[in-house]
Amino acid sequence: MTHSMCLIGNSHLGCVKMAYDADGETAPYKFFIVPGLDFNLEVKDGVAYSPDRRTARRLRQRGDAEFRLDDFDAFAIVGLRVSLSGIVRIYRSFALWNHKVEEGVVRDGHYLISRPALKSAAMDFLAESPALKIARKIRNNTTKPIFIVGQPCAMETVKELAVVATTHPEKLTVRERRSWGNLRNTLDETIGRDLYEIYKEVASAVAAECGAIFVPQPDDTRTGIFTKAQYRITKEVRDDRHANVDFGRRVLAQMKAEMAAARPYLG
Amino acid sequence: MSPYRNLAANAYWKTGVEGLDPRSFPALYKKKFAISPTDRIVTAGSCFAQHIARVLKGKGYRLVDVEPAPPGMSQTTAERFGYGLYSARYGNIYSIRQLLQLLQETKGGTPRSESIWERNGRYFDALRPGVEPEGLESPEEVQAHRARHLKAVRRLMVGMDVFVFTFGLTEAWVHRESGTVYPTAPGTIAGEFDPDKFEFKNFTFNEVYADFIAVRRALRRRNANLRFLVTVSPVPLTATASGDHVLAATVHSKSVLRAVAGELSKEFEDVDYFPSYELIAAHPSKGAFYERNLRSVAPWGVDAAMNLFMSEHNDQGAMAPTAPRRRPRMDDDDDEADRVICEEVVLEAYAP
Repeated sequence: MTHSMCLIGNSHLGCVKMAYDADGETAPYKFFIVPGLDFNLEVKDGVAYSPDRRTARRLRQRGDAEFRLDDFDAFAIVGLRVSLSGIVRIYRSFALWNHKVEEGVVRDGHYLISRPALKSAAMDFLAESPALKIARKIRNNTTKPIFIVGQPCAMETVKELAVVATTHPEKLTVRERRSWGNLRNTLDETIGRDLYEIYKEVASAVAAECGAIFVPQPDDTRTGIFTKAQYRITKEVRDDRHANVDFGRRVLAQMKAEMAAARPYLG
Repeated sequence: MSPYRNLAANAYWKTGVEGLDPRSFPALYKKKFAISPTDRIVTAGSCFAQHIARVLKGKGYRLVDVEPAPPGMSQTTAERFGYGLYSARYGNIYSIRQLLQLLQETKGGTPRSESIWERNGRYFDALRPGVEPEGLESPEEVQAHRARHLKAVRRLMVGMDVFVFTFGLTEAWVHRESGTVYPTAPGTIAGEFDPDKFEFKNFTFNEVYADFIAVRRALRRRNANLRFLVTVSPVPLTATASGDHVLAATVHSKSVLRAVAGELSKEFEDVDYFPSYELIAAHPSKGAFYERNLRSVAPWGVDAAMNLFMSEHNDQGAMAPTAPRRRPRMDDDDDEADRVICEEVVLEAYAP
C-alpha cells in the first residue's frame, strides 16, 4: 500500500516538487508551497488553512488553499527557516573556544560562547521558525508522522563571496554583504562540520519536542556547512540558496525512506 | 523652641508614615543628582539589582552591556546564561569584596586561586558559577572565557557615567590562603567544600566600607565624574553559616550594609543612596511587598520601588502607580519572581 504525504514548505520545497514532476512519481504526495517566510497555518475541525489572506490566495493559485489532515498519512515541512542561519548569524561575532584554539578563527572583537549556550540559542531560533510553528499546529490535531526537512545549506559557490564581503565589501550589494558576510568565520571545513553537527542535534531536539522527526541534509551533498556546487540551481539570476532537481530527488528519496521506516505506524 | 518644630512632613512618623500607603511616603527618596537618558549606566550587585537594571532598561535609560547575548537567543535563555542581567556577565556580586577583587583582576592581578570548580566532568568559573549552568568542557576553556570576560569588564570600567550597585550580603566563603571570595559556597553549585581550604567570613562595617572606598577610588581614577547609586537588597538571606538564627543574621547583615550605604551617601557627593530597602523591607509595609515566603520580592514590590525611583528621576513624572496585585497562592507561578537569577537560592536545597 502506498501512503500519502502532505508536503508543506516555501521555495526550498520547489526542487522536490520539480523532481516529483520530472520523474513522473506516482506516490500520492501533495504539495503546498508558499514562497517566503509568511506561511502560517491554523487547524479547525481537522482542516488546515492559512488565516492570512495573502498566503491563502497564493496557495489557491497553486491548487487547494486548505486540506484535511485525515486525507494524509504523514506530513513533511520543508524549509521555512529551519536552517543553519541562526548559528551562522551567531558565528559572525561569537565563536566556540575550541575553534579559537584549533583554527585561529576568533579575532579580538569576538566573544567566546560555550557549546551549551550556542546550542540553546540555536534551539531558540529554530523553535520560533514558521516550520516548527506549523508542526506544532499539526501535532495538536493528529498523531500521524511529521517530518521536518531543513533548507539546503548555502551553495559552496558563496565561499568566495563570503571572503569578498570581508575584504572588499564595496564590490557586493548590501543584500549580498548581509547574506554572505556572516559566513566568513564558518568557511573552514572542520568548523563547518562541527557546526552542522550542532545544528543537526539541536534541530532533532526541537523537532522531537513537538513530536516530529528532523531529516538532515544527506552528508554526501555537503562540504562542511555548504551544499556541493553540483546541486546549485541554474537560473538567469544568480541563486546561491536554492537547490536543483537532483537535490530534490535526494530529498524525495529521503522522504520515501522515512515513510518506509514509519510504515508500522501508518496503518 | 524645640528643634523638632516646623520640620517637613517626612520628618515625623505621624505624617511621614502612620496611616499612609508605603508607596506614597512623602519624600522617602530625594535624588542627589540627575541621571540623564544619555548617561551610560552600569549595574552590578546582588540579584535584586537585576530588577533595577530591567526597569531602567525598559524606561529607556542607556544601560551598558559589554557582553551581549548572541542574536536569536530568547530572553529566558539569555538570562539563564547570565546575559543581559548586568552590564557584563559577572553574575551576581553579593559582596563588595567580590567586586573589588574583580576590579583588581582586570588590572592584571594574579589569577585567583581555586577559581575553577568541577562537577561531573564539567568545569565552572568559581567566581561566577551561575553564568554557565552546564559548565564548560575543560579548565582551559574556563580560563579562556574568564580572560575574555575580564577584558570586557576593563572596557566597561572606562565607559560609564553612573554605577548602580546593590549591596547584597556580608556573609561569604573565602579561600583561606589567598583570600579569594566566592559568590557561592564551594560545593553548592560545583566544587567541593574543604574546611581546611575554605572558611566562612562575615564582613564587618569597616571592611565593607573600606572595600567600597577602594572600589570608588579605582573607578573614579578612570572617570573623575563617575557617580554611584547604591541600594541595599531587601532580599533576606536564604541561609546563614554564622551560627545565628537566619532572621537575626539577616537583620545583622542588612543593618551593616545599610549603615555603610548611609555613611557613604553622607560622605560623598557622588554617592546617592536609594531606599528601596526601607520601602520593601521595613515594617510599615507589613511584608506586603514580598511573596508568601517573605523572602522573594514580589513584582508589585519591585514596581513600588521603581516608581519611587522614577518619581525623582523621570522628568515626565512617575510611572502610574500600579495597584497592589492580590497575594499569590503558594502554587502560583510568578514570571517576574522566577526571572531573577539568584544562585544563593540554591542553599534552600540544603534546608531540612
